[in-house]
Amino acid sequence: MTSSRHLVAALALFGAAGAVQGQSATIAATATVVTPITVTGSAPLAFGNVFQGVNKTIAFSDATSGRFSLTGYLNSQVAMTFTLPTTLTSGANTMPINTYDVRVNGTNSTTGTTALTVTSGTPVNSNFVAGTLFVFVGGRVQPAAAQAQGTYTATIVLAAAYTGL
Amino acid sequence: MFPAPSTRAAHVLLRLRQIGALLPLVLPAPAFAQAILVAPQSVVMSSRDRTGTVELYNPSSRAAEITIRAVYGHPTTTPDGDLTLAIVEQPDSTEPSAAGFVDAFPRRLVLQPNQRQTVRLLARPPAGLAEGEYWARLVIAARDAEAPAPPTDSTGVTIGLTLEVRTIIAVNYRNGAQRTGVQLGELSASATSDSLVLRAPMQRTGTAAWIGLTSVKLLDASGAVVASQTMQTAVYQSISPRFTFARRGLAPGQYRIAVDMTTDRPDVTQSTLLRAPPQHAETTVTIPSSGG
Repeated sequence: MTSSRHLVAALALFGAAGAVQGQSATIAATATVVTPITVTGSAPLAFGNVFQGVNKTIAFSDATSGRFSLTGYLNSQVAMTFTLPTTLTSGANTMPINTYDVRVNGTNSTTGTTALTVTSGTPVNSNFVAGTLFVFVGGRVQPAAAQAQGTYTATIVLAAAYTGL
Repeated sequence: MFPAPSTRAAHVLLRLRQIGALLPLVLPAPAFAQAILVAPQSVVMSSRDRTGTVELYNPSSRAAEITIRAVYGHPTTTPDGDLTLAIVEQPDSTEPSAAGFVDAFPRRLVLQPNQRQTVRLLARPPAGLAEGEYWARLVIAARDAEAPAPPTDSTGVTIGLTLEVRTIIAVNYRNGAQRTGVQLGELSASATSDSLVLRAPMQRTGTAAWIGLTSVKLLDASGAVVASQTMQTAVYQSISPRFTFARRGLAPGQYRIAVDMTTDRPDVTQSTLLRAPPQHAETTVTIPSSGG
């Protein structure tokens, strides 16, 4: 962890200076700040309650859309790989979820987003123009007319990696 | 030789301020967030030092269940010239994979909110491993370790998709002394209706991945730079990235495109960065006076 090690070195230098007050010497302390990728799953994609036989859509801009945020090295490129489940499960029962709407933005706003053509398991690229990226995920579920009652769940995965390392 | 005390103090304060400026990007996370900070973004081990460390930090307010595994992979380009990360779960024996002999300790853990953990890496290469550089990617996955809240209505149909986040970092193992280099192939540039498109074939030379920067400049007939871009580049085998400049605002005429590749990478630990001579190549492209 380049930045941390340098920071620790800088702080250690401060401590050392305090311990040798009887002498006078100075050295330069520097720190190189390197931003690692931090991926945050900010909000789950929550459909809430649905009715049997009635499709339900959560738009990417809805308050209950799924949300990720990423921070990274300025102007670097990140490859994002999504795993988007096609089936929700509740015990032995299943329900299809077959439409996703994934958008990305440099700011935490659903206005001015760019649509990502996402294929589950295939990386898509985006640039850390301002050091941050925000991803919004909408989707549609199709409960059957005889859909069994229960809580249906699945997991959306976002994997991120710098393309230049 | 050293800066004056006031300059020194200002220098240190500036650096600490820069580090402090990062914290708001990392620390605040919503109450329901799953997050993981992983540093560094690349680890280099060698036959002289077969160990490495990765620092994990959970900036969220919920406990995160972390799993770590090594896979084979490296950056490459798609046929269209987009950079991508190629992950191969089952590489064949011809691939220089380190995934089979790099272990992480621990591989499973729970990080409480604001907790840090050092993960130790150990390379145990097979006996008689040929000299060269071997590659892996460490996949660090984080998911919510706390049970989700029970549904408010147990009589209906309720749906919720949880999130899992993964950070993928490079792990390279160098067996013996390594050298690197890159060879720029013949550039090809073309004008489309709205863009100037450049393809720059890059072939790694030497025995280890080339990690550096690619700078692409668009120059007009007078030699003035009218547009430029820089890309962090990793050439593990061969790639052919695409660079695009918008045509908007560019007058018809001939333009020169200059590509420079250097191993200047301030974001990479300098002691592990392999240096190589810079590379330069140029080509020309013409914007027609109408259409085209």
